[in-house]
Amino acid sequence: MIGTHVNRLMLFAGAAVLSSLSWALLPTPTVAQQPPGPRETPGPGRGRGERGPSKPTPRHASGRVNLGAPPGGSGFWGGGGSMVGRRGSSLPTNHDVSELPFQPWSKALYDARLKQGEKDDPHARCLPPGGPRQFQTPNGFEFIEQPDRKRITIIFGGGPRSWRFIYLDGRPLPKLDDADLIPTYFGYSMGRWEGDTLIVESTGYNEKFWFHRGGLPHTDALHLTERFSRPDFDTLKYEVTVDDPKAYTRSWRGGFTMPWTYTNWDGSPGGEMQEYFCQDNERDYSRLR
Amino acid sequence: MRPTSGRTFGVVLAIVCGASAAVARAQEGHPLVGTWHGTWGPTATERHDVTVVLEFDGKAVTGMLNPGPDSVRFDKVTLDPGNWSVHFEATPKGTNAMPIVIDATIQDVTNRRRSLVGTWTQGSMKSDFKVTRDD
Repeated sequence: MIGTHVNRLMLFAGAAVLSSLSWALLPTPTVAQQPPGPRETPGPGRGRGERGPSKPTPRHASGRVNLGAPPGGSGFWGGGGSMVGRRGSSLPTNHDVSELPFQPWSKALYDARLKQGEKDDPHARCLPPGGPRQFQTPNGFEFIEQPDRKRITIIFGGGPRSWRFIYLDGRPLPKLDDADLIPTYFGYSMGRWEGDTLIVESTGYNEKFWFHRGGLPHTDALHLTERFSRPDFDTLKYEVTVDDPKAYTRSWRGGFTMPWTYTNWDGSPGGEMQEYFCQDNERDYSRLR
Repeated sequence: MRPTSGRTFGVVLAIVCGASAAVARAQEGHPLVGTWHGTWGPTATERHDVTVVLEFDGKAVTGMLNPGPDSVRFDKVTLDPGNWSVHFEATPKGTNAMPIVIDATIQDVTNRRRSLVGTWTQGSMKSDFKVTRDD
């Protein structure tokens, strides 16, 4: 009887040690309830299995590329990878982070953030992720084209479940020295189609967020030029030019691709974004101050 | 008398509003930008409240001490990102005022509530100095 107990205790202790070791070998957990996640394609679309060849790019009756689901269809875009480096879904033309034209202070701040393991990432406190970061969060996003309002709305299923407008009516970008300008998380976005590519210029960002996973710094001078294209049904290609002379000595470019997601979060058929609110599961804010 | 008071109030209000705007516009960008509050003084009990407002135009950091009628603009602000040390020089108004030199280090630089900790030197007097960035 005693021997049985000892055996059980040893088994339990062994399991505990193995469990501890496995946790120790995992990447350092982040403080966010919605962790920064994998460096490559995050959650949505998991469990969809192997895909066959993609269908061709869907188009509207006018011939223009449709960035959403075709009539009667469903689905959404899953998040992408990194606009620096060339791993996973990152573009092969991306710079390595060591090649970015940091200002001295922005390089030092980026290095400090990396050492901290994203402890101070505003996204961990459920603040909205502007810039490329908006496409790096789990739970996906959709383009809602609104031709009657001459705008495209992007709705995000991740983070604080936010949205962003891209105006296509030719209005000018706000001037950064305009005293009435209210800087925002998603900036002010004006878009235009050039062939099959949607080109979006944005400025007027605030400095309350990290514009890229990992903490690449930006300032209120940030100007982004984003290029969205859909080379086939299943792929959204995202390229962005970063122009922020306060943080970088010259403009630079990077991007990644994102997958069309046919399934729900749990892998069941449907292709609908789940209801998710970052704030709903936030547990760390009081300890982050 | 009244118009002068009104103008003075207006100037003070404009400066305070300007400082508030700086708070609202900066969080995660250049680590010095924003408004910082704290104290300096020679002992733990002899303290002086101080407000530091800093901006960055892409090349230089500029700013002031104690926005308001008695504000003092910095003549020089330098940052060494290698160790996050910061050097400030300012010349208060008044013929007998001694120049102020602050040497500090940014503590917890990735935190939006980071601090500047160091020394405040004015003439032969050397005090400790600590300000924390407004959230």
